[in-house]
Amino acid sequence: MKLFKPLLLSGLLLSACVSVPKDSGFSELAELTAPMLPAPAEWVGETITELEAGDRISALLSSPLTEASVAEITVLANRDLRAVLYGLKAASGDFANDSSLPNPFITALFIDEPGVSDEDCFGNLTRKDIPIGGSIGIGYEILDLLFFPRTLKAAKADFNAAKFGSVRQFADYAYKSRLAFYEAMSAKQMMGLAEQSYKATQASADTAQALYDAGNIPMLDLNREKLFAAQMEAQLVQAKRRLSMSERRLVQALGLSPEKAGSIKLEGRLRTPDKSELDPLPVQSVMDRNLELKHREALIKAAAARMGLSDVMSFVGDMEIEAEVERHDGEYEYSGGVGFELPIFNFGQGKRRANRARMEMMAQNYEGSMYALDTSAKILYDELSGARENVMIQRQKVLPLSNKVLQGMQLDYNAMQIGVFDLLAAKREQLSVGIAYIEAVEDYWKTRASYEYLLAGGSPEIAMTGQANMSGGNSAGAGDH
Amino acid sequence: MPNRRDTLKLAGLGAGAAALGGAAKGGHHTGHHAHTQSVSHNGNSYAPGRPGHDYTPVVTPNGSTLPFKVVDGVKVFHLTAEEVEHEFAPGLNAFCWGYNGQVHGPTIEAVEGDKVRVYVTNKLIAPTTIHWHGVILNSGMDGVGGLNQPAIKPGETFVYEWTFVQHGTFMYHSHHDEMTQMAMGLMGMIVVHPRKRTEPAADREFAMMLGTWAIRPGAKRPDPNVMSDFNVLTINAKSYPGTAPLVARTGQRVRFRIGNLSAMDHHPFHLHGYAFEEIMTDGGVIPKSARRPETTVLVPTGSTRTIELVAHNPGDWAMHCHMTHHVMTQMGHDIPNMIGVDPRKLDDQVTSLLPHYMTMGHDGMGEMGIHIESGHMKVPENSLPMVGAQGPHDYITMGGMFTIFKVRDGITSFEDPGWYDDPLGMARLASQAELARDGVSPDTASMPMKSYGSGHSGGSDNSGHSGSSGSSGGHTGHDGH
Repeated sequence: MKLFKPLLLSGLLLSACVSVPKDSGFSELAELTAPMLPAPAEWVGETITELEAGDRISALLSSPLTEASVAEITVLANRDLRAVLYGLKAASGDFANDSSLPNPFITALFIDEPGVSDEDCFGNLTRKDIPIGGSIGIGYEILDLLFFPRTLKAAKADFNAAKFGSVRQFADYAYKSRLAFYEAMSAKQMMGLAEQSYKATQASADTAQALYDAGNIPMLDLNREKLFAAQMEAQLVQAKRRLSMSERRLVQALGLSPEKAGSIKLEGRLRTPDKSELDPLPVQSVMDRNLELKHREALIKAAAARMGLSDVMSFVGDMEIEAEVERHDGEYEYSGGVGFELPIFNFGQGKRRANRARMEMMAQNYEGSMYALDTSAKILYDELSGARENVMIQRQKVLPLSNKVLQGMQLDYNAMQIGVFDLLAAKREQLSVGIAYIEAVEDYWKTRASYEYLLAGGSPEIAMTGQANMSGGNSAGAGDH
Repeated sequence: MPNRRDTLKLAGLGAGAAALGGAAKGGHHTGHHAHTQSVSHNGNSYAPGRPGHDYTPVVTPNGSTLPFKVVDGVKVFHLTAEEVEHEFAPGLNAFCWGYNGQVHGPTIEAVEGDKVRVYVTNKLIAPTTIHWHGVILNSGMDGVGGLNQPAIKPGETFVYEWTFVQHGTFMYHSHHDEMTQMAMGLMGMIVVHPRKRTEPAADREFAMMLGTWAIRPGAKRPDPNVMSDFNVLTINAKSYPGTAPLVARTGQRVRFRIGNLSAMDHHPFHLHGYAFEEIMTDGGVIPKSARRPETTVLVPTGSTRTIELVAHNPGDWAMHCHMTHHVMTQMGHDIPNMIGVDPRKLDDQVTSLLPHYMTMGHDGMGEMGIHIESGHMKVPENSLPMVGAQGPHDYITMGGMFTIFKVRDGITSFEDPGWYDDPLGMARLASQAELARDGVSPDTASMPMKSYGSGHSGGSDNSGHSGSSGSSGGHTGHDGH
């Protein structure tokens, strides 16, 4: 008992010292998500009311979407993201639960004692003879108390893991919305060019019809032009399909309700990248900031804390301290004792080996994640440099030259070096160059989103998947992951 | 019977021969040369012919005559082959190859019996030679690179020497890599006057070299690789309106010495307002008995034709190749036929994509030059409109191989006299009174047949005769002389 008291006291003290965040860790989440969000994170229902959030979303939707408004709407509207916050709240509850001392176990026992009653002179049973007896015992798992600091550490690590997991999911959703925005903007721009391209082929077909009507070309030539126009019409349908699909993906990424889904406005163009060179890749900062690594680290810490406990438990098994008060024959008796599992058959080697292996597995995974992160960051950096260079070449050289070529073709047409079909074909070529430019800009922004997502702490796997999905240009893209 | 080589030997044309006929007095020359020799060269030597004394100097419109000096009785000429920036017409310049700073080279003029020495300096980037086309001389002077002589390397100066044993119109041109070097302009005319006049002296003689070039509008160098689609057609390397007019006084005997060194084309050269006689080819003088009146002379490539007339008909007379595409300049030939197409719908449709578009060619090509000259339709820099220039009464819708023979009464200067104002009147809008007088209705497609006195109003009757069928009274007088 002399040992038990100080243990209990220090346990109580420790328990009291553990502070479970009252806001379930949201403020820390907001701080961690700040680099990846253009506006402070909000928790609808906690930091902002549903009504306020609705008004804010409506206000944002009243203007054409931007990267910033897309991120803000996602935070406010996306139900899955809200669910993440409730998940964090649940983890905080678990943390609070795990950071309390375990309760003692109390047993009460009543004992009937037949044959020990007395009769008085009248033959009645005297009080003394009433069969009453029992005991009250209190038991406590001594190992729970002994290893409480470790349990507390594991609980904290669990909560941290949950917190980093939540932050990462914030990053994931913001990234997903950003990619969907770029894809929709690109699809919108391409749609405009596809319409012009179709008009150019339609003009060619109509010219051919006029020539055919005038008797100047045979049906074969007319049908060739019509065939081309029909093919371009099919491409226009594809462009419309892509736009529609990308808009719906954007709505999905934003998490807008069906009522608000029709309010999104896509106007203008994807921005041209800055002319300034890219900063060197901050490798260490990427490592330090990565949420995936932090999440894994917290999981390892939690596992390590539990492993110590598990090692002892695997050998000692249960260890219990007990105290009992017993009344017997009107007399009170006090007793106490310790109980534990006797390790004669199972020394816990298997359990400990499994624990070691699991720890090693987690350590290897952690290290692997570090390498993957390093490689992913370098790949994305190179991709971003290349994508930027591509845009610059397209913008500074290809586009102006394409315009000059079209102007030259117009002059050639005026000089009767080429005919209207060649001129319209030149226009289509110029539009193709425009489409290639939009693809290059889309490629740049998506790569940049992936890179910044990674820099802000995102998952290398997701960043690389987004990169791979969009590298095809017109592929289904980021909305899928 | 002596052959041609014998004749040359007899004429003493071997290298180093000091004087005509020095080697074989009393020899004979063949009948082949009889047409080209005005005197016997056997054993005779002649003093160098003097311009203005022994002959009327030829005029090379837009060109010049190569100066010479006499050294020890030999006329010494010097040609320098070099790159020259040449203007084909205002608006079109190109880097060509020419001689003595001009394209084509200056006309070499001599008199039958003149001994000439021609130095040729090569300032080109490529080896070259000169072939004296049509000139009878010894093989070693014929100028075919590799066959008759080594090529003249860049920087080298070669000397050619011979005695003209004939008179006539000849040409000179590169005979090393002809396809390239002739396409670049290395050619010129040779005019050899008879030592003894057998034809009436001409008052005005013009040397004219017909040529074809391929210059992409906007480019500044002829393309020797083009085989058939030549787009700059020239007289003395000038394209109308760059061609200088040919001026003569009424009553003058005028001789046109026309050479053709086009790569792939013959040219039916037509003169308006006159019938003329073809008096000479580069093979010799055509016997008078074989001459016939012509209005068009076909000048095959690699040939010269000399025609003559007396300028009795004052006026401005078009003189041009009658191949209609040869009076167009820098026209593309792979353009759709727009004749008869209603441009209105096309204009609206295409200008929505290409604001500077205008449907062209639906009513022909004639207005193209006007559109360009008026400035509202731009063509590539350094290019010529497909057709023409402004004339005194309207736009002249001819370009390329076109010039004007200007005959004026009593002029003493042969500078361009300006436009001719015909005192006899010109074609004009018919007045209503005239139409009524002659029973012509603009709304009637063709002249009623009864006007011709056959008594039939239709195209045919039971007799099967129509107005043009040759029945009595049905002739229109077209065949009258």
